[in-house]
Amino acid sequence: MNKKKFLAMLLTAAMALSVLAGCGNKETPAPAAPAESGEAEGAAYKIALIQQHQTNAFQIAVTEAAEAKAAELGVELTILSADQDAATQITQIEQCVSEGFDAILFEPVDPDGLRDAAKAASDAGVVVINIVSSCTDWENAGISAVSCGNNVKAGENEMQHVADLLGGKGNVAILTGPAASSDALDRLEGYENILANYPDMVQVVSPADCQWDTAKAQATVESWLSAYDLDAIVCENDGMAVGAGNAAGADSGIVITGLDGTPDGYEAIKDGRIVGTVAQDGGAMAANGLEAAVTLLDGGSLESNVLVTDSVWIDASNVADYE
Amino acid sequence: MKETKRINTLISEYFIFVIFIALVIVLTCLKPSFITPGNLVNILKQASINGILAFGMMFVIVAGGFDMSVGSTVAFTGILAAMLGQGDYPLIVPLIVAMLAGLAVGVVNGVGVAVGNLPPFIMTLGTMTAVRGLALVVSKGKPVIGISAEYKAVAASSFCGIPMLAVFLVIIIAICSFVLSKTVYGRRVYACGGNLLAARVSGINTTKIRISTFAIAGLLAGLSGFLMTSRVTIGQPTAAESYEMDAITACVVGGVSMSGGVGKPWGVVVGCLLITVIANGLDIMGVSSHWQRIVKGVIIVLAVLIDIKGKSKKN
Repeated sequence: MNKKKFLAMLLTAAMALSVLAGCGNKETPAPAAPAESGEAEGAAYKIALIQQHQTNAFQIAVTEAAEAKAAELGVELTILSADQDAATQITQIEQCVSEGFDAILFEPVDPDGLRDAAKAASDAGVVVINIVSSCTDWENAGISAVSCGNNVKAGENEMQHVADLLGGKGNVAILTGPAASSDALDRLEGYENILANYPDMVQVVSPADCQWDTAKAQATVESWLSAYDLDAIVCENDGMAVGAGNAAGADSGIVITGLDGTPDGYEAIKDGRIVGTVAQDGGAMAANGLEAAVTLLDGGSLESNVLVTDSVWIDASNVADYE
Repeated sequence: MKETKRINTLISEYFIFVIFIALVIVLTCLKPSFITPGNLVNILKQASINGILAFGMMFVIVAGGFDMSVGSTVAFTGILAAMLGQGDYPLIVPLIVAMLAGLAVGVVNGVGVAVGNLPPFIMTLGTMTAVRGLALVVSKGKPVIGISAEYKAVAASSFCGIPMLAVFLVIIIAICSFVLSKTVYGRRVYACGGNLLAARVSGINTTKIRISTFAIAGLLAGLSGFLMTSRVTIGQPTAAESYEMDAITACVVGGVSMSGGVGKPWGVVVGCLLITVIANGLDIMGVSSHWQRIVKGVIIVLAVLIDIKGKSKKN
């Protein structure tokens, strides 16, 4: 009982502290809508980028590309990480509004949960843009543009290459991310769209949820290989593809593919453990989003408010260009 | 009457072993490929890292503690090992550094609990979070790639058909079982968990013993981190998420009492094999991993229920 009370107190104290720390910064009263003021030319725009998290190679690419683009455009960029927590991200957006940022770019931790915060920010005159993924019904949530890849299309790209490599025939197994994640669901939808065209490509086991984790994927595939004759293992990220590749060994003859285009995947392509991957260009998404923000702040308009970054197929022939 | 009572206690004592054998038979009937040599090797490989962690955890739990931080420690030490295992140094360097780093985390835990008098749950919850952060900082959030071929070979190679990972596990099991059951130190660990005050009064330096159990858990987590990186060929800051839970599960299922002082090494071995066999068997049958979690959860609760029943009978 005592332990529980102590834990509760500790957590409360931690929360109170984080709120206080957030409020410590100087607050400016409701910022003037920047697009209206003519003086925007000279002064650097203050733009915030709130990432979902910063714990993998893809997200770090987003960070680095955004920093580079900000330097190129001469804007003042602040990068925050929501650490996969929707409540944190909402607080960060509110904080950015009260600190007078001109634009907020963010990758929603939750497509529904962040809508109200985005709406409130845009009502306060801030340009709000989604990158990497978007909020549900984002146009009505005050979001001006979305710069993203398309996970369904990326999934289709991957499975199409697998189908071509197998000649449209064979036993296929799929490793997925957590079923609760929209990335995982969209990629799976892409796979199924392609599989529907190839009746001879059979899924001999139901897709396994390996939580994006290399070690879990490795254990699952080791077990599968002692019971099933697989021609292809299609993975929703590179980490799991590397695990599958470790289980099968280099040049196993099994078509193992990943998605994301991260350094661990490239390394596995080079030594033959996996055949290829589909790269989602997170850096380009961030850069396009920043550019769009500046265009809108300058009072311009966008040709389209959906900026799609295409996915690319990477295998042994072109992996050297992407490292 | 006495005879049936004896049989009852015998059954409750070895119940988990009975469950394990039954599970193996059922899985073999359902899917004959389960019992092929290739798959048995898989099971050994898959059980190794969790087994090593479970033995470290066993020391802590038997001494009346609890360690939430081993998963994070595996990730952190795995990254250190991956950074040092690029071929610039002999393999012993990443191994030693990983184990020392793990040891350091363990000692911090131990001092917090035994000297600072913090509840083990709070102390290790803190290190769990902080060490995961450290892993992210050191790796800059990216997976560490490019480990050398010799390093990859550590986990991939085998010795007389037995995977090297399992060889490591067997060595650890042998050392830990010996220390826990045959040495004075081992008996003192049990004494600390059984009744801390009585142990202190009888002249045991309980502070030292408790710190040392956390240190052993940390050391073995460091070894696991080294092996983990070799197995998956990359150092990932997000790896080994919730491995502490698997280690605790192996202990609890194997009859180690969460209130301390009770537990047999062979029980932990069976507990660890049992969870691995469940995951492997369900994978082979193509059962969704979501169901695997349900099965695992039910088994934990059942095992502890039987544990408690067995004890109340003795009283």
